Amino acid sequence: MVNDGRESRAGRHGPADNVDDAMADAMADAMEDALNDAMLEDLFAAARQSAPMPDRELWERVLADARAHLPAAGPSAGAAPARQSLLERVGAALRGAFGGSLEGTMRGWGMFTGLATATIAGLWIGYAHPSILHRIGPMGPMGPKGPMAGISWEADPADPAAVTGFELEDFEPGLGDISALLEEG
Amino acid sequence: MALDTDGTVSDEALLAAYGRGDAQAAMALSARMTPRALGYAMRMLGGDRAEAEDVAQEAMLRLWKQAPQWRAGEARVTTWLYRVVANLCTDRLRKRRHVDIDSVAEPEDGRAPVSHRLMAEDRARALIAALAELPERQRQAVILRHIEGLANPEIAEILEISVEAVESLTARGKRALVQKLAPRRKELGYGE
Repeated sequence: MVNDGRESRAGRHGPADNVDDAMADAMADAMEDALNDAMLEDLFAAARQSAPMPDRELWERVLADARAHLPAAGPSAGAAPARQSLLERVGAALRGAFGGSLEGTMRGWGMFTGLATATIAGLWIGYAHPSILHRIGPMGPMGPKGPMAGISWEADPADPAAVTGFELEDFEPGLGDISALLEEG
Repeated sequence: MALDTDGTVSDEALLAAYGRGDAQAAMALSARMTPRALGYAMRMLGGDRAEAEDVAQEAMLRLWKQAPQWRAGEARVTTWLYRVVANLCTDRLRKRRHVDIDSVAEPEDGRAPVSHRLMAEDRARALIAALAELPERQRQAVILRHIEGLANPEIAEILEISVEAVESLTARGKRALVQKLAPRRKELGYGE
């Protein structure tokens, strides 16, 4: 027979003491389980809060792949022609705003990727942690005065191809006419 | 397609839009999916960020390639992506045969209780180190359930097992984690 502590106690005391010891052991075990469960839940929460965010390099790698494999917009793409012209029209507006100095940098994905890597973290914040946007305040990156302000998604969920656009003047003050272009679709 | 900040458009609609040549859908989809892929891969690979980034990029690349053939209603994008990440991690774990637990930066043994500022990070590292010692399927199920926050039916779909098997894996995984972490309870700042 294994001579552990519990049997020794039972040997020294009567049946009532034996029951008390068993209850005490059970309570201790339950307490231990509760503490361990609480610790584990807290550790899971800590892991969720420390979720890694992609750095700029990874965003660029992912978007470069997306660019490389982007299918050509077809005639059935609904708003695709409008979207295609969107970049061109934004480019034209920027060229006008900067006297053509940005010509060549606004074509297609070159500019798009630049905007993407600058704003994609904001998209993630808005998607995964919308409450944060309210806490950042008006001067924060996603606030109405911040550099990522105006990145909006107002499309009808039933019609995701609908173009609503984002407000580039919030990235670069003085480009107000671009938002008008975007609102026109 | 415009940018997305509140998730009103489904992942599947975004992928379909990308498949039709919509560049902005790629950005919104990247913003949603890349952090998930990276986080899951990092936890599966014992905290190896560089390798997890490669896995995340590869998973996203497969998503882009899959987009034109994506058939609505067949699967959720998240389910598909988690499955791809799981498979990619499995391949890498088999190649290295074991998770290099030493690569996980853990708090030094016996040092004074960590500061509040670093406590959450240390706890997360301790958990990742303990997860790395679990059998792979248990690790997958526990991460997906308790860190990624997925429901058991979706986990079952990702791991291609029954819901009951998911429940069994997560229960056994949690018990194993408790065994590994209970001796460090005080060190991690939890009371006796």
